[in-house]
Amino acid sequence: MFPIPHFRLRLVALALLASLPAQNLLFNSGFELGEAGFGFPRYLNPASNPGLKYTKVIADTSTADSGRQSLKIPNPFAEKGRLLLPECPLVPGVEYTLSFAAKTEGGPAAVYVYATSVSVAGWDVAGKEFQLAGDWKTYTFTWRTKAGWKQPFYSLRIDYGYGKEPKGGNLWFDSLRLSPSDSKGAYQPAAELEATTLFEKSVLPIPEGGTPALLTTLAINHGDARVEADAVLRLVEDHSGSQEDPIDGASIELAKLHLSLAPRERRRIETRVDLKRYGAFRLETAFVSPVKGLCSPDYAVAVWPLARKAGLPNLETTYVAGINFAGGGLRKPPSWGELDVPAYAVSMDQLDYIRMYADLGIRLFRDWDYGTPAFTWKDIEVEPGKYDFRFADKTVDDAAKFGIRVLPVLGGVEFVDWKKTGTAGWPAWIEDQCRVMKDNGAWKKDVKLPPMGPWKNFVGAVAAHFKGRISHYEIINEASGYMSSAEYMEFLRPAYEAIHAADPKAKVVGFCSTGDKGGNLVGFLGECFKQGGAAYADAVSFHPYDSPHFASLTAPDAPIEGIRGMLEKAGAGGKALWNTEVYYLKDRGPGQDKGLCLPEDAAARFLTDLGEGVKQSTPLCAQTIWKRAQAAHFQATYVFDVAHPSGVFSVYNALARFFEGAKPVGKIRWVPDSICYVFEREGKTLAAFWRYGAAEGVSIRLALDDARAELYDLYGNRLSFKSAPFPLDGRPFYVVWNGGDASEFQKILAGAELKAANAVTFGAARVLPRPGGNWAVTASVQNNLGAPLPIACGLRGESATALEIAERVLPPGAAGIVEVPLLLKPGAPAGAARFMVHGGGRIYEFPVLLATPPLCYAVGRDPGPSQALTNRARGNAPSHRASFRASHDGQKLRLVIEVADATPSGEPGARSPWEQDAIELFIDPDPDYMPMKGGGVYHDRVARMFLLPYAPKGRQAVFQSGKLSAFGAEQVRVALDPRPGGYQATVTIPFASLELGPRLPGRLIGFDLAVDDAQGPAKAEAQWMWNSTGDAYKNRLSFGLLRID
Amino acid sequence: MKISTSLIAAMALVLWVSAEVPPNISPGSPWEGVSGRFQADYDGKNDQGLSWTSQVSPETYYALTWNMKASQEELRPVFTVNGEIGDYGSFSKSYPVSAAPNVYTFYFYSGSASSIPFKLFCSSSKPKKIDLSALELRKIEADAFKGNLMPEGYFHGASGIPVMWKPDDGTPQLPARIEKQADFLAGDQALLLKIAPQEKGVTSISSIQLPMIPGKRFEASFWGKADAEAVLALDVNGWSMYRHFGGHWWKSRSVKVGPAWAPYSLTVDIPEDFKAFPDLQSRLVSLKIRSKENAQTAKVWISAIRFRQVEKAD
Repeated sequence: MFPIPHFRLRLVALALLASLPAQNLLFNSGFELGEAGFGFPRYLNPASNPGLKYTKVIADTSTADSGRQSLKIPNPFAEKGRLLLPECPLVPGVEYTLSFAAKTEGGPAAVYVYATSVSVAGWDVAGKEFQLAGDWKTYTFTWRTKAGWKQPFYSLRIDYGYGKEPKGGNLWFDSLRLSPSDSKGAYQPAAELEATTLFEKSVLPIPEGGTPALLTTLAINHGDARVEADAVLRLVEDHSGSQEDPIDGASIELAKLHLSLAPRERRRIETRVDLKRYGAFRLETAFVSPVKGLCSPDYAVAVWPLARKAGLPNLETTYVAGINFAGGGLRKPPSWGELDVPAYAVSMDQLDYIRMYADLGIRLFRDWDYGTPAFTWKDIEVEPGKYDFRFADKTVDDAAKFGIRVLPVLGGVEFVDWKKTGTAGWPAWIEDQCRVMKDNGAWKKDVKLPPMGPWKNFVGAVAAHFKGRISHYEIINEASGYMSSAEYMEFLRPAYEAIHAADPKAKVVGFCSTGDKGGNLVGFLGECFKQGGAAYADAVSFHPYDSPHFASLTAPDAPIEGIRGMLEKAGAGGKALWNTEVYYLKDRGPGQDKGLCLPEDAAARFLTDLGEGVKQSTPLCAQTIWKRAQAAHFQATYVFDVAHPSGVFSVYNALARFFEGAKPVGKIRWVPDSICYVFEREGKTLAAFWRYGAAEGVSIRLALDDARAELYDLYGNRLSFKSAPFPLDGRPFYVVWNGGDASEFQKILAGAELKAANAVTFGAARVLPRPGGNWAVTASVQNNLGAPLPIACGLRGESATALEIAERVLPPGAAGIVEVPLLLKPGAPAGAARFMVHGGGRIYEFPVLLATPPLCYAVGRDPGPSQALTNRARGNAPSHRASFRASHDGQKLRLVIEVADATPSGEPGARSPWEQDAIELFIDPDPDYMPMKGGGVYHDRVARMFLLPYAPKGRQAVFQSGKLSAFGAEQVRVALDPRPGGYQATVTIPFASLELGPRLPGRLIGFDLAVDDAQGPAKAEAQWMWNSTGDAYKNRLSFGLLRID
Repeated sequence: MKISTSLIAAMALVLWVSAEVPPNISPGSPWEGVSGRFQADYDGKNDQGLSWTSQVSPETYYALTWNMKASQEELRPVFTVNGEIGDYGSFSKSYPVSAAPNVYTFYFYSGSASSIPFKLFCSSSKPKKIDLSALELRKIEADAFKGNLMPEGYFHGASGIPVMWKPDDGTPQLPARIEKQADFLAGDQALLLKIAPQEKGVTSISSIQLPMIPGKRFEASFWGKADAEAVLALDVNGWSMYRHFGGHWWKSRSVKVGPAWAPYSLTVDIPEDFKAFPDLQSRLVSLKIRSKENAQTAKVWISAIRFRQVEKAD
């Protein structure tokens, strides 16, 4: 066996273990090192555990199945909970067995064992229920991992208290073993030598000057012979935040230990070290070669001890750190089918859990996500006029104990009938009075809109009850996705009136407009303001999913300025803006979980909102604060273990320390791709700056010294200006100015010296046809210098070379698109190439993968040749076929699509458009557009359309228009003609609806077609596509082309 | 002879209108022709060739192109096109001959002529078999001047030797070849110019005659790299391909070519007034790349040779 300190080594090592006739894949499987390596979240039941006390597990030496001790899980309050095993990489298509010894006290106890792996392709889940009873007995759970499964990590857990009425009493576990089923032999530990070193606490407050910290090393020799071993303790900076894969910074050797362990001996060694650095850390134990053993890390964050401020913050005057965190950890049934009664999901006493948020500097909870919101109408007004505020009271009161405000989201998304079952989330007594709207709003959901009288009464009752305790209320979450502006205004007006009547000092945060899923954030607000909406909100909330950071396709300051401009026009200039949600701060990958966040991204968004004068910002989900120590790759909200904070925790601590209550006074842009905000706070001037673009090797030097200014990293570690220049990347720096005149500070900042290692940065490239049967590659290139830069570009590769050099001059710091004519090499496959840029006296080479040039259909006045869809995107043997022809009349594009499909899918039911017989159109009016980042990512003029031949009339065409506001049912004509053996669709699209501009001949349009086939009422599993091979829904560069002749 | 896609693509660098195949080509023995393809078994002495008269529009620029290869490479310019254009007199321009297929180009301005007699033939040189085809005459439109007037500036379709260039200034043979290159921005080949001490003069190559417009600004440029420090001169030379009269208009710039690919250029304003430089009436210039006196031995790779009209800055 060998030490496995690092994730990747662990992956290799455990894969190797899995391939050997391995005995056990689990560290500390016999709990001889206590609870190390495992997680123990619980659902605290307020009914049986009114104090919401967390009962800790115990290493019990009085009983064991193997070794000297076992793990005791007391369950005095008959609660549900989890024993989380450390995740393991397993081999696809292999049968594994998890065996464990267990005993109970107090009668039989049901447990459920899960083995789960989550990937973008879905879930691989297996599980089994066990009835534990009486004395020690071994239980086994055998399952087979999915063949061909791409996500190697499996999270295993044992849920106790399983079933409707969990039993109280004690449970013991021991002798866990995970191995391929064909492993032989009795239980044995994974290695003869095991060790771990633990922090004293997972949150370490460090005052100025540092603090001693206690580290406890636990080691055990399972073998029959004495072992002499040296071990090293290392502290590794953990920059991964709540992301699944490690991002390590510096590694500091803390101590060397010599262990002399007799057979079966367990040793405990305490080491004291001085901790002086802030941030998130991983504590590693590693045996020194030639000794081999198995070790497990521990995690902790080191933070500045923030002084608890008396009272609650004034959200009108003080910018605070805020987060989306519902109900103080409350989970209400069904909670993914796990709960029958409300409970609090925690890994510590529930109040200590709230205290943790205060320790990191949070002073505002938006009552949304990572828990069940406490202000849902159906839970509060159980009967008309009868209110149950218990959970809401507790949420508000608990938060107030620690100086944290709560922002309820009244209305939430309770009006949405998610599963199209005819019911939404309103109180049962009002369902029949609701208006039902089908395929409503931008996201085409069925919604049920209640009558205004009861709605107004409910809102007024909440405001009256919480008068003086809640200062702000948000009205409905992301209404822009589900409602028209007129429908939203129907709810906002009475809510505003009711709240102000009940509590004149309370404020209404209205609109909650979103840019998520193609939502038109600014457009929805404009429509509301035109209807006088600005008068019915004290603040405007928005969710900038389409502009999360400065390297997004839309920079974050653009929509903020847009909203301010519209407020000015509406006569409401100066109204406060609140960013109440933007979970994905990096460009969203497929199926990205909202719990993933890097520390620097959290910092950048906080500082951007503050710097742009946004009044309050609660961008993230509380899940990001916590590290999934046992299940890093299990990207799902409900595997909660809040025992270990992530680096996002320590970053918020630093942000609260330096910037709570700050006001923006300046904004400076540096080349390349860098931003600096200047603030004032409590009489001091300070700044925060970072780089957001793709340029590499950028450094910064400021004309500052340690006497006049203090420099800090993003966690609050003091740095010295003597170490300049500093590498400048996405991690913000903070500067506190002590030099007097603030204008001098701003001048110094404006004169910052930035140097880039490379004069140019390359973005993305694609091959496009050009007139005359020629081809060109269009590419985005950025000038990283502060002066105009002439560049010459070319390309060489296996399948193509530049026909000639393309030249242009890029303005300072600017990106531009360059078009290089290509010579395609006949017969050579598409493949690797180098995009070459000469600039600043040298040639830069950027590897690119040239896709096969896209299919290009010449659209003339007469219908062109029939084009069959021949790319099998889904399904092994699709039985349906499809083809299309296109033509135009100078004003409109006409498409005729023929589908041969002998198995009509019938009524849509709850199926999404792509899950039934459907034609999917993908349109990109700007195929030449090549942003610096994410060439394939949809820009806001990419549109989609679903044609559903078997949907009810009036619902057969579904549009996702992006910013092409005219691309919709009013302008686009659709005729669907089902016939025996298939159907035909004729679609007429005015060119004007695609905003193509006046010059049409030769114009290219990105275009693709998919045809889905469902067998009867089942979900569609087969799809043909024209040019794309299946990722057209997220990659516009996979579309083919139409050329308008 | 197969025309590769790359040759066609290379020719597309200049904007062509439809080409005209010269009619009534008379092949003189040893030349034989069938369906636009001509062959000769050249004996080293016989200067018979292909003769015809093309009808042209007055005051129009033209390019005569053909594909050719020979069984024997000739580094001296031995393959000649001659003719007579009324306003200017007779001309005779010669090309080196490659053993690999290449496209050859000859530019001229018609002046007031409406017909021009041409002859293509091989001058005194080693015996060889010659294959010639795709003989075409094309007008050059105004737009083409802003493209690249230098054919095969990137050597995409060139093979063996750069046939648009000939040795000059006493260099006895073409000191250049086409060589594969893997690190330039465009194309898989470059011209390799071997600088070496010459018995007389310098290492020098000059291009075919290129069309220009009097009174306009033009830029000559190339990209180059060398294996040793190489100081070159880039010339734009107005010496007439007909008979020289009056002053000699030429512009030159000295460049130091280093070990990394870099661009070099010379911008010239063509005089509008022919009094001082009557040669410019032909509306043709040539480019020259030459070493300096007493140049060290060096290899210089050259590509992206361009000659084009550019805007005059305000």
